[in-house]
Amino acid sequence: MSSARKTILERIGKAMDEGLVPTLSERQQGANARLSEKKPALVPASANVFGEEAIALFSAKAEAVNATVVRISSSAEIASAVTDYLATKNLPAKIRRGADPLLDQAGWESEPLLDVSIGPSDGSDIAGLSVAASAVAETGTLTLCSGPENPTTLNFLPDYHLIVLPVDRLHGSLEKSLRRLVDEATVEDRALPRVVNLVTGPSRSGDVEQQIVLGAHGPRALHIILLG
Amino acid sequence: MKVHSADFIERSAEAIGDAQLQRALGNVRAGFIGKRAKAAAALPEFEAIRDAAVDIKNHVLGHLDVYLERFETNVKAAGGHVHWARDDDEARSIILDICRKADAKTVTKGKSMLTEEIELNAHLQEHGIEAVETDLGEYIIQLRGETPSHIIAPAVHLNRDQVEADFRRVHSHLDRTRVLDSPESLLGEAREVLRQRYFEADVGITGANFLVAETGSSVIVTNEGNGDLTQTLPRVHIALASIEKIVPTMEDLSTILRLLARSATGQEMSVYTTISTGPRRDGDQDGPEEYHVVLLDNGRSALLGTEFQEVLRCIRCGACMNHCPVFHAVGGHAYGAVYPGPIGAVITPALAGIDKAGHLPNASTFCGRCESVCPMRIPLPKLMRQWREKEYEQGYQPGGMRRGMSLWAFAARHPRLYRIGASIAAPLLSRLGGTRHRISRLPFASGWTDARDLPAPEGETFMQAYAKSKTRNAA
Repeated sequence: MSSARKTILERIGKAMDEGLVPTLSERQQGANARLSEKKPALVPASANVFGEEAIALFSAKAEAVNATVVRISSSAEIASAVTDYLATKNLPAKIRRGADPLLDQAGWESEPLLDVSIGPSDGSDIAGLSVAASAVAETGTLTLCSGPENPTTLNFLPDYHLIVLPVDRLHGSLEKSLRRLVDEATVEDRALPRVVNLVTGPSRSGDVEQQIVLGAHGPRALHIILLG
Repeated sequence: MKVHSADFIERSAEAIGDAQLQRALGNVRAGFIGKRAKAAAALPEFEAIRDAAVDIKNHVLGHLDVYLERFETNVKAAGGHVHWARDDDEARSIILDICRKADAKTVTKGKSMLTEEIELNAHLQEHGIEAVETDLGEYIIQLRGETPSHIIAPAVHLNRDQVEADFRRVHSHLDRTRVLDSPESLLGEAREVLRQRYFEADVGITGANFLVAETGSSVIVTNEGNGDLTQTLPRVHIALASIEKIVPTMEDLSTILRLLARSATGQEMSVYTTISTGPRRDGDQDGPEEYHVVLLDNGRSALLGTEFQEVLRCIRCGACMNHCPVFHAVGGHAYGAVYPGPIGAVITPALAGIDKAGHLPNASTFCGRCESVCPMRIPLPKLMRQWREKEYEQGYQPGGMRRGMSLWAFAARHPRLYRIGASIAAPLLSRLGGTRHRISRLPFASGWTDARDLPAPEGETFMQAYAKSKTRNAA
């Protein structure tokens, strides 16, 4: 199908060369400049938040889209935060998680009744636990990167999704959050992780009479554990 | 792309008389408009961000070939495959070929208008591959053998009792006495039924809201999570995207994302925005082993550099149809085209030809609401007017209409003649209106008077009344 490639590119090039648009070499320069500048266009003033103000905005926005938020001060409290959540939801004390190193020091030993297993989900798990790569205060959005540390199936198959967010990974704007993530992931010309999931609240659908119902094909509930 | 727009007038008349449809369309007016207005008002920079987004897309369209090549290079570097398709036929063959190589029996699908444009499901079905729609709205209309009536709310023409009847008919293995009368219970049932299908599928097919040139990523934006299960669980993921979906950088993506959900559903962000780059990596325990992007032209490159280029800025949010009084009255199916509403009235003639889509640019009152809410500031009324001109130039309007318009145009260019004509017609029409001052039947205007009365003029023309008032004022 390389002839299709050629035809399409020729059609585009021809349309441009006939119009008032720049020549091919100018187009290449223009595109390269934009790709290397990576300039944000217009970031809303409300996204210009830091520290506690960013955490407050993030929490408010996440709660506005039906997520729940708790805050803990050290990673050793993660296990008890998980147990507490499962108990309030009347769920079995069982969690599936990825191999994220942050979860190695989560205080599992202090919760002997909690059944913890590691790996992707096969659809039978009721609750899954992930660690966010970054987060966006302006919309209450979490970003999750695929990999053995945080398998993608954990983000979508369990009914309840718990996500740990170390607060130093929180940024005000979407641009900052994505740029930081891309820069860190693509060092030494590496490609981005297979998937970056931006998650804003639990799944929902409005397809029947435009009434929003939570718990469509993904999680029915999203619980955010702020760390730090 | 099949277009049935020739029947637009008959279908519209049917739609207006369809009580079920009219009840369902009430949800469009009640739901979308207020939510979008609230979301736009809550972001002080909304208008300025619209300007910035227009600049981004204009820049992309002016550098499209370079960005497409960069995108391709980066997809390949991440281990993915890029396929180029000139038209719907090529896109269908490419996708079928990938499915066959994967020995696919079943494919699951995320919501994609582009797969509707190329009529992919029917093609796969003909070749023995079952395509399962997983978006709730798409699933419902697939059960009914229908096409989407709205680009982001495919089943917006239906009420819950209709969906219940379909679920009871198709899910016949489930308990007959179950309660299924709420959006919650209907969604719950679809979730249960479709869960299994994701695991059975050999290939997952999604569309793409954006293609990021910088990283070679395809992006889908959804609320249900079905698109993600579709592209995570099967062994092969195919993303079908049209060539104008490119954005250069993550910064550009961020700017346009601020507009997309606000304009569509009034959300600040949709629940899931998923950025996909290449297949499963070493060490990954889930995700597809193959990642394919099919880049489809299908008539778009022919719009570059023309007076219709601006339509390529469209991000398919649906705001234009959500605010369109014609869409509110007749719904999406009356248009007889894949893309309904104002954007459809402009895209359909561009992709299928004005000879096939002639009625659509005429299905507008030119009230301008579509342009006022379009996040990408596409001048939809202007573009519809341009199509009407083309339609006239090429002689596709009906003879009666052409003759009437020529007559009117002649009169309008000869003011004295126009005034004489008006001074004869006004008292005549006034008398026809009788004491009710309403005309219920008029020759050559049954299209208007069949559905409502025409208010009768007072008996005087404007010029006569104006002359009188001037004399009065002078006295």
